[in-house]
Amino acid sequence: MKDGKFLTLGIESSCDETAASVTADGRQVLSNIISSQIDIHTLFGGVVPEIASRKHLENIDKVINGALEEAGVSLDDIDLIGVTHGPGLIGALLVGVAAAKALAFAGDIPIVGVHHLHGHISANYIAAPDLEPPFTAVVVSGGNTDIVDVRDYNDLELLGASRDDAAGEAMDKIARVLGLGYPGGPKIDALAKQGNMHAIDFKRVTLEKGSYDFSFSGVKTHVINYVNTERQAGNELNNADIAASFQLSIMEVIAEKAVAAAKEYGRDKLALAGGVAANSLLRRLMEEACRANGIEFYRPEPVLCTDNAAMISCAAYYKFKAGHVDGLDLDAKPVLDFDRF
Amino acid sequence: MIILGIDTTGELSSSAVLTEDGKIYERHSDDRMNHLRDLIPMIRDTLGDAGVSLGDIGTIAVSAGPGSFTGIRIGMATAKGLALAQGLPLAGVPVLPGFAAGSPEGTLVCSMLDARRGRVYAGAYTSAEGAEAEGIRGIREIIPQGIYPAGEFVEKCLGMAADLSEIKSVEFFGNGVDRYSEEIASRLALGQADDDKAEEYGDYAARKRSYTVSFAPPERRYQSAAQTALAGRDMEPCHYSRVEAVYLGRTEAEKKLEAHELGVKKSKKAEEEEIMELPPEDEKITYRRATAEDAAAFAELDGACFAKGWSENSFTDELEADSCFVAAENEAGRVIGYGGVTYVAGEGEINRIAVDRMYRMRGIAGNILKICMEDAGNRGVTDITLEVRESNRSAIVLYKSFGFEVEGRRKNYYRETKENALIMWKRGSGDSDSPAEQAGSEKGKAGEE
Repeated sequence: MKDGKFLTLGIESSCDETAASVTADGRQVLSNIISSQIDIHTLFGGVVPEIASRKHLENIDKVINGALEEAGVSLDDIDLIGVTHGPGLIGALLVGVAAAKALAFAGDIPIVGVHHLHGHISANYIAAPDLEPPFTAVVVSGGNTDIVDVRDYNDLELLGASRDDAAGEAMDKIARVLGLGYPGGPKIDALAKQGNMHAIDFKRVTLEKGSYDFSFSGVKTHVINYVNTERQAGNELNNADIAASFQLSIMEVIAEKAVAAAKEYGRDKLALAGGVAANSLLRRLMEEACRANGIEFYRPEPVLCTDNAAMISCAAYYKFKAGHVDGLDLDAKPVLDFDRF
Repeated sequence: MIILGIDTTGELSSSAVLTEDGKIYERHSDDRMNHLRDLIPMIRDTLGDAGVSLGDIGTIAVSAGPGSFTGIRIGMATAKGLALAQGLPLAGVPVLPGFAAGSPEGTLVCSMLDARRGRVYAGAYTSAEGAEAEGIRGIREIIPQGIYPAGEFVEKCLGMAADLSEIKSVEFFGNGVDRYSEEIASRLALGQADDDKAEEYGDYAARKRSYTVSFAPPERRYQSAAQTALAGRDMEPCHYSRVEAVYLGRTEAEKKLEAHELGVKKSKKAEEEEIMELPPEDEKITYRRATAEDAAAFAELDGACFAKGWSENSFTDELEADSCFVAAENEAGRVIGYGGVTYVAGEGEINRIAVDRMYRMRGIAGNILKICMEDAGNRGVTDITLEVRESNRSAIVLYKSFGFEVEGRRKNYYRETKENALIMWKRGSGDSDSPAEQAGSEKGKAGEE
């Protein structure tokens, strides 16, 4: 406690960002330190697990100290530690969990393990101080495309998920095919702005009626085949048109399904989350669809969309307030069911 | 000062408290590979056993590797977290020399951890007052830590023991002992072979064994938090942010990254990477005459192999002088070893021979030396000299196998360490058959400036 506020230290290391953050009373961000490895992984066109794990270990103490310093607090002031314990790369996750447990033990501070997606959704609480459940959440990131019904802070139901490639994954692959590099999402987003999104009619896969699941491998293959065919025919490719059309084929389906879910479950609020939430087309489509259906639309600013620890800290705060505490035997789980809290 | 020891580099994790009067409290997990879940509760219980709290601890000693990459990171991240919270200094204990902490004098401690595919993370050490190995005081490095083929490492240990009169016993440590017990046994039998097989079997077989050989008993054989704490007591702990993991094996991806950061080779094309800890054993190494264009690659390798590397300019000078330099390349065309002989006034002088850490124990240094010697022979140069660090036993053994003899000693030649240099000469026609193929098993860390 400091100045009468409940302080939570959040730690996140599930993929390629090592992050730590201090929040006050769950939603007020005092510090949000992110050490990104994007520059390193750009060299390889994606995250290399062994390198990611090594970098996490090198950075973990620095980001924790950075978060405490920037917040102007010491470990003694911290009331709760929240840490991403899954899902993610196991070698990456365990660095954050081990450090968090050590701090919790040494400082005699309660610890709460947070599901990475729960964290992403919670970023909306930070961005919009007035947002309260229930609402529909859409998490779109490198590894996930999920529609979630958020009934309460700690009562979430997964309505649908990608059956194959996540949206971000498909974007990374297409970015590689077009020679744009890593991370694919922002590169495609930027290039698409110069192209005509109706130039090429890539297929949209909506799966069976009423399903909130996604499938992006079909459109991904379609784009790759298109590129190969055109190259073989000796035609000059318009990368901007390809990027724009491909992006539309993915984002349109996400926006449609998200709004359909909100309507079916009677939610008048819809919150976007995850790294791909920063995508300008997705934001525009969602905004339009929500407005047309009388739904209030929420989207955190980009720094809270990417992997960060403020969102983990916030999620941990609400879990703790609901009476949830983990033991010092907390483990990292590369695979973690979304509904398990 | 009370030391908290942590080890998660092996199959079983452990924690230990080493008290000021040398008493050790230790706990092991009874569950394999559940280090993350078990470690903190185990540390809590060990502190309880010792009747101390975390606040009583003066230093944390953590095994820094080599070992299971995942295990290393769990231990290190936990230790960093504890040190950060308590404001404690941290000693990152290298596991291989760590085995030698507290060992009796005259014992060659041979540490070997299974690195898969017939290889071991290994090194050999003795207790020696005033010496220091990888930051641990009181330990002398006899074979530097690295990745070696298991059988060759064992041979090398026995060879060293034969060479060093002060060695009375050889003791093998680590799970490599269990994994490669056959390789060890076969080499031990070999060590007792007849004198007339000496040529075939190498240097040490020619002598009667003047030392005993044993496997450390199971209770001492594997890395443990107690051993880590003991070794950590002989180290200078530092700020936790400066403690680094000892992986030894670098990933292919990392090598590319390093090359990129050094600006040597830019990997423009993004590609899916396969993690590899070691180059394949059957990778073909090619040897060629070096040119002045190799100077940059040599300087880079030199910096990685020697404490005081030669600059690119020094190499350019040497390469342009009357000399024969050899470059060893891997299949990717990267220079992974070099060596050379310079000719002055009708005599040859061997410069340095260096081999990339990842490619040692493959006979590369021997092959380079052989080519240099052949070049000298072709020029009719019969007298060749070199200087070598007195402690560089493996290099001395290599040179002896080529017919070099010690003729003199330069005191305190290596200024930084005040170490003597041995002056070795090979004189005469040089037509005695050099056992270069056998000697090829020696690590290539030879003459230093």
